[in-house]
Amino acid sequence: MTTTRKRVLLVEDETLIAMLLEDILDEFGYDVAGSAADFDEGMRLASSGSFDLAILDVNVGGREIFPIAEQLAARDIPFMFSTGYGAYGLPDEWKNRPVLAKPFKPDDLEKALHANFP
Amino acid sequence: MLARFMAGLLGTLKIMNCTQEASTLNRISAPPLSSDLLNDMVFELLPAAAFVCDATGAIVRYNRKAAEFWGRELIPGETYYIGIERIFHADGRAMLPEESPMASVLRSGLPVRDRELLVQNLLGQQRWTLVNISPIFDDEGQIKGAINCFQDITERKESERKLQESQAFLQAVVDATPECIKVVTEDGLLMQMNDAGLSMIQAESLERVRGACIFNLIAPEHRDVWITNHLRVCKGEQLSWTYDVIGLAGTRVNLETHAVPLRLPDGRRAHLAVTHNITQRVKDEQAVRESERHLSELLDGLAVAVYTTDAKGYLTFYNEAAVALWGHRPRLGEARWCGSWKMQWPDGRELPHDECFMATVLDDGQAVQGGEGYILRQDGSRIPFAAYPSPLRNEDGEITGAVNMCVDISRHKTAEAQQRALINELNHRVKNTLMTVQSIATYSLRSANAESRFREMFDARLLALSKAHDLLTQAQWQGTRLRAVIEQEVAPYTEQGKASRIEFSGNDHALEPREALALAMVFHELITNAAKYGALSVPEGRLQLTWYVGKDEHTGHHCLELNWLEREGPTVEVPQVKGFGSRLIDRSITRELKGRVVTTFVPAGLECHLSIPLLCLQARPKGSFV
Repeated sequence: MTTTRKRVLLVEDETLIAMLLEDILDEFGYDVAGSAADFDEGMRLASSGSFDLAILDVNVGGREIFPIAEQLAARDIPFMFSTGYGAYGLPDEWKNRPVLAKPFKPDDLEKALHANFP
Repeated sequence: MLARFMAGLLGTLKIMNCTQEASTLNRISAPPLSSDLLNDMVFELLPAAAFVCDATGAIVRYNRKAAEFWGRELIPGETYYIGIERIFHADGRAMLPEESPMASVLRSGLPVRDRELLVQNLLGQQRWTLVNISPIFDDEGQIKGAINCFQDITERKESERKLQESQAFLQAVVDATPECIKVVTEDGLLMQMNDAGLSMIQAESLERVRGACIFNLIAPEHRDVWITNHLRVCKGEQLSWTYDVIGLAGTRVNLETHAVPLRLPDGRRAHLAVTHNITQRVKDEQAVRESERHLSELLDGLAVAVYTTDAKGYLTFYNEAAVALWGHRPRLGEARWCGSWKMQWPDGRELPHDECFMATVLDDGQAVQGGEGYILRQDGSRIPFAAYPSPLRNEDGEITGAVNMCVDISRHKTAEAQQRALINELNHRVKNTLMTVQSIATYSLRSANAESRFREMFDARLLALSKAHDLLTQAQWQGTRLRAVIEQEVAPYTEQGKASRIEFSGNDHALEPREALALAMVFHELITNAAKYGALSVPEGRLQLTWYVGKDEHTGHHCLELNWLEREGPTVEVPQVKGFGSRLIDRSITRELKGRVVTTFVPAGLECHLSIPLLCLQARPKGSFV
């Protein structure tokens, strides 16, 4: 089981939200292999870390996440956004990516994970 | 000689009277003596009509020219004074023969010279005659008679009358014209001037100024030019120019003159001029210039760009605000439709000048309200604008140009963007906060499973978060102060008269919103723990909180070094499991605030050292997002 756990990169600046997501992901069988609370750390991990998928807060510490999204896209690492803006807050080029609208129930997260990263 | 000739004429008359014969028309007497023959010949050869009366006024002799004029022959001695039908007085009444000049000469012995008389001959024709009558005296000096030589001057009188009429007509025209018409000789003497001209130079009558030199009437600053032009005109040129005259009453008048050369009857050279009074026009033009200057100053003072074009779109005016907007000074009459370097539509496509709002207004005459686009300057800057162009029309409604007000809407656009950003930010915060609350609830519930105190823990944590939000809201979310955050968390435990148990000291520092929120939650967990299990859970327990600014040896960052020291509480044991509070403190400080946490569970009491690189201590720009 441990060998099949998918490795997740989490970029989320709110400590309490990150903690919750990490715990939920762990419960759902995912391995939070990287958790970044700010843009620079997120970019560092996105560029060099080894992940199966990523969950990206759109606004980290006042900075937009999109350069990190580009980096992941370039590395063919699938990802979804988690945002309080909803899909309307995304620029056109990212509108077709999966979005998890905050706040969400653990079930919503699980469904989204299964739907987008089977 | 003349007297003898005249006496001879009368002598002949005597003979005529004696003989009472009138056999021929032109010779009343019998065949004359040789001297009479001579007299007759002279009489007939006179270049005028002539007749002779004796002292009684009876016509005793006449020549052919007289008879032709009268239109009849006379019987000698039967007709008195006049051979014609009648003579008219100047007032048109008919003169009695006794009132005739001949009668008067015979009475007075004084000659009549060059008298012009209107007469009517026997054919009913009215003619003008020029009459000369000379008395004839005998040797004793008594009046013997008189001879009347007269000429028909009707044609001359007629042409004189016509000339007078035509002159009067011309004079009337000249007098009635509102322009000054004048003749000035080469040496500057005024020969002729009409009423309008006299009024311009404030002269009462032509007599006052005729023959005077008019150079002195010209305003001193215009006099040299005037004299130069005047001499050129006298020599044959046609010139027009403007000048001022200081009239006889001292009033300055602005004039515009059109002068042509003129040769006077006596051969002198002169200049004839038609001159307009343009004082009002000059005044009007000055008023217009003044008004335009005023308007231009007014427009220059405006903070908004304004410019005008002619009907073809060429720039005719722009104010200083337009220069500021365009970033340069276009040339009037060359730049067309807009003075900007380049323009773009709001979507970034190029907006050619001939398609801009000003061009369409000149094309269709429809004003535009707030047409938007971008002005591109040569320095690369790009200014959003709103244009309000309107057509300018003349009295006939034809478009003569257009005026455009171009508003720099950068601020408006920035404000719009800010507003959008604020709404997005608000959404982001609200959703994040909800999610945070969700997280607090989840963890409070998990702990509560063991301790059944969910409600208490959840409420307290929510309150801590809420109070931190209050602090930030008071400062419009621009951040708050460290002391305020600490005091807020400590306050519930100092209100119970236990203030002395808690000491805190250190300089106050500014906190970014996210720092304030994180620290608020950290202090909440620490103090809650102290109250539940630590120093504040017993009456004698104390809490010491001190902080200072130090430098991190590894990163070189200035850090807030904060020591949390609990003393005289229950003996501390190292916890078996890391609870939610410890996890939150650790995560908040290390992960969110990039600081370090060292928690020591010494038996004397909990010691917690926080080292936080607060943004306000770093030499870098502040962020303002949570």
